[in-house]
Amino acid sequence: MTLAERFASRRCITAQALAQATQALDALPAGEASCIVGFDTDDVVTRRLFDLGFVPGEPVERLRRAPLGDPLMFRVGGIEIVLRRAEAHRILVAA
Amino acid sequence: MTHHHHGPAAPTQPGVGRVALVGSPNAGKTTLFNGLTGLRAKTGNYPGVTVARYEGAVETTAGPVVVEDLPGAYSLDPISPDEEIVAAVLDEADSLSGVLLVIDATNLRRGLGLVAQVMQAGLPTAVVLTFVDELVRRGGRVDHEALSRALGVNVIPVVAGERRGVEALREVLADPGSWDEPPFAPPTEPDAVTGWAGSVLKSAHYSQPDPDSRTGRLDSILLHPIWGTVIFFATMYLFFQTIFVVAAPLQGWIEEGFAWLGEIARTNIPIGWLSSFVADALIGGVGGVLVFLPQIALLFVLISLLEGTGYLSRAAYLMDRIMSTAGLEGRAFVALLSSLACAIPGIMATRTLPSAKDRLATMMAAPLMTCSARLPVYVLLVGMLVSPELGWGPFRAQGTIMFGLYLLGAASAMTAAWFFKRVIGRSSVGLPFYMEMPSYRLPKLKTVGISVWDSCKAFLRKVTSIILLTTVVLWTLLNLPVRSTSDLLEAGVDPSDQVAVTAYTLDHSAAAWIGHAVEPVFEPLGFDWRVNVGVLSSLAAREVFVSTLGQIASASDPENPAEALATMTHDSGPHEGEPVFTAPTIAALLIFFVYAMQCMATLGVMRRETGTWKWSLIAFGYLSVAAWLMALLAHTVVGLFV
Amino acid sequence: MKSTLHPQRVDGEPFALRWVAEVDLPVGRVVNAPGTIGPMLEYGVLTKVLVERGGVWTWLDGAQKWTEHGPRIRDALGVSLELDGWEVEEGSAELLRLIATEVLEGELKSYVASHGGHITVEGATATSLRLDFGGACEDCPAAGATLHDRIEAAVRARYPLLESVTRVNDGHGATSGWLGLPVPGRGR
Repeated sequence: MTLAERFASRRCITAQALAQATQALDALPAGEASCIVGFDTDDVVTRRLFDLGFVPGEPVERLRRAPLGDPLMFRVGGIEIVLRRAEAHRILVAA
Repeated sequence: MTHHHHGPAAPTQPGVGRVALVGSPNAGKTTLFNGLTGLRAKTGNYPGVTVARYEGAVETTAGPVVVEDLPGAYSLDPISPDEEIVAAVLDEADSLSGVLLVIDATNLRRGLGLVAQVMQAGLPTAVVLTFVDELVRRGGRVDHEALSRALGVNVIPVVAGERRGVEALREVLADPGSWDEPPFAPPTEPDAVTGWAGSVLKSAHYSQPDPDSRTGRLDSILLHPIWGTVIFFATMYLFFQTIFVVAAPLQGWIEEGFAWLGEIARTNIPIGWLSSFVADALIGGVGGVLVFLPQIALLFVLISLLEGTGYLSRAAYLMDRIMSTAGLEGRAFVALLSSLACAIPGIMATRTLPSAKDRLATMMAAPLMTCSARLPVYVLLVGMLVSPELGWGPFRAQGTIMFGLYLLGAASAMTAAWFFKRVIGRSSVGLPFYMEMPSYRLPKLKTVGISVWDSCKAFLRKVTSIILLTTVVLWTLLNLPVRSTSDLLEAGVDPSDQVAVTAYTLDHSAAAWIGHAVEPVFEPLGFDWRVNVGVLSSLAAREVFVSTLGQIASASDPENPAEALATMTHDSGPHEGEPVFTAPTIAALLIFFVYAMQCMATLGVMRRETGTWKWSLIAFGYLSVAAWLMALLAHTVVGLFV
Repeated sequence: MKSTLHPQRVDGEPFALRWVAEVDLPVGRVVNAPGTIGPMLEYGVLTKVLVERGGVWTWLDGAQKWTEHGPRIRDALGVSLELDGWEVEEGSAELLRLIATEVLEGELKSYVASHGGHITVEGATATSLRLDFGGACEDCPAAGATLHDRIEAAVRARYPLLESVTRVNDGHGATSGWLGLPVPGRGR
């Protein structure tokens, strides 16, 4: 098995496994922070978001949005990172 | 559970180890690589803003070690071509004697995820901790010795601009076989790796840095909905002003220098054909293209300055929404921006795009951006089309047409990208768009310098290979077959009349035969056989068109044949005696150059980047058809008005 | 449940690993453990398990490989540490010696070196520790006292049963400087 195949078999926490109330990250108002709890589905995009630092248990803050409404900028794990609404929507944070 | 191969791979040959540099984008990997290898890095590429696959020899205490700078990767679970390269190289464990992992100390938690993945490869691994100074400046801390114990591998902190860390690395690189080895690789399952990383960070007394207040303040202005947009357009305006205005005097000097060299050759070489060959083909051909060197150098200075400060990422963020109308993302903007100098760095910059579809679509669009090679052609043709005096107030007709051509190029590029994005392949998983915003930093002059040097070197290589070859071939075609005195007398030409001899040779040359042969294709566009020869020669490189027409028109100044061209008339066919360069024909030529794929180097890079000639052929095919159709349209429309 | 732990090698003992983890058990030798660590100990995959505050020491059978068993032991330990049913024989001279050595070679190494010395563990019982203060700090009472306190505090944090730390009187001075005189900067 190649390295890539091995890492593609990783599994992230999805909505089904969560007991608590959640909201999608793109719904977080600007300037507010919350805690990441999981993802809506589990696929290569989810794994990448995880690898980028969107790790369940970590705090995340929404900083700003681009002049035309998309993408959104977040602070997580000491970095500032830009996601489009569609991707931010897949990350679940504590409501 | 994870299956783990252990045991370090032996170096390919004793004495010459091979160590790969792995790290996420923005982790300072390229700066480190430059610091280690200096200018001894080997690369055949134009470096765009993205990192190509470089390697360079590093002198260590135990002799030279080859260091390979792998593209930036956030993860070995690849979703971009760059990351596939990284994962594949690490899979080929036998070819490497070790891995140097470059980790940004300001973002150590995420870095540990990559550390865990890379350790799965089972190669001797050491960690280089970058930006420790920035971590401390922003109120964070890390104990690198404790981190080393927790990871079970050597950890070497380096501070940008300090020799000490780099010197320590040189020592470490000497013998990867002696590096500390962890008992086994850390876990990579999300839950387990989070726990492992948390435990390691705690042992290393890690505390995360505070948000960078300087970056926060700058972003509140530079990314402000109104000011941010204004500053963005001002930056782009200055960008082009610099490329075209600052470069102009430098280009003037190069032009004069080559004109002077050509004159020396003309007056000092007694053999007629040889003097023409050296002056027109060698010096004229190379000089006509070298003129772009200042522009290309400046473009790379500016792009690497913007990249180094962190503004280029912001520009991509601001442009993302607009790029998304063509189905692309913000980073494609950077690729298309680079294409304004030359499609080659633009195509290379598509490597940063995670989606293969986006990548191909951007590549198909890049040749439509108005590259600097089109500039001399446009200058020549627009000058023939309208007089510099024509205009309304501050708006000159020439400038307006030039601007329109740039706009047409950009709009066509976006349309092409949109088209290819829809056509390419079946719809796969929508790949995510994400972009890290680096803290604003002062650019490293060395990194800027190396980027500029590499690009200029690659450009000079193109000049001395493809373009020189084309001009030489062209000169030969234009001057063969050689006419003897008896041939000339037979044809009724006075051998002592130099102008008549040149004209006769040209009209009956191999090039003329080819030009006539393709007449049916270009006749609807109003081109005559001489323009055809120019267009065909420009297939190798657009800028050749100018010097070709110069050679053909036998103008006294081959770099400015406008005078001679303006009066050129059709010498055969139904339009005999009429001027060649009428407004519809010039318009058709201009539009032809907007679309035509006249650059062998670009096709070559496309092949290298996609691994197949398929996309080069598709690009060539669709752009040739588009060029012909749009030129016909221009010819017809302009013909209605004059 | 995510298990917050990671392994660290033990100097000079290739079959030993110290797992850094949140552990709140009596310190000493493990007689019986819950989860799969119990059977691993019983069937000799693990030959010995010691617990301290903040870590677990495990010894792998000499015929086995960490690359093969490491990940499994990691997962098992993560689960077991969440469970009740640990039986620990409280107090262990061996554990105290290991912890003291690890403190001196690890977290306090550069601190000790900055005092120009090299400190080694001379001996240990289940409650006391004897250290050999080699090097310059031996004759520097102020630095010696600070050093003594720091070492004691660091070891006690991980081994609460520690009662006393004594210094071996290195009378002949053969190992400390030239003719028994302190050598400035020695050991740096």
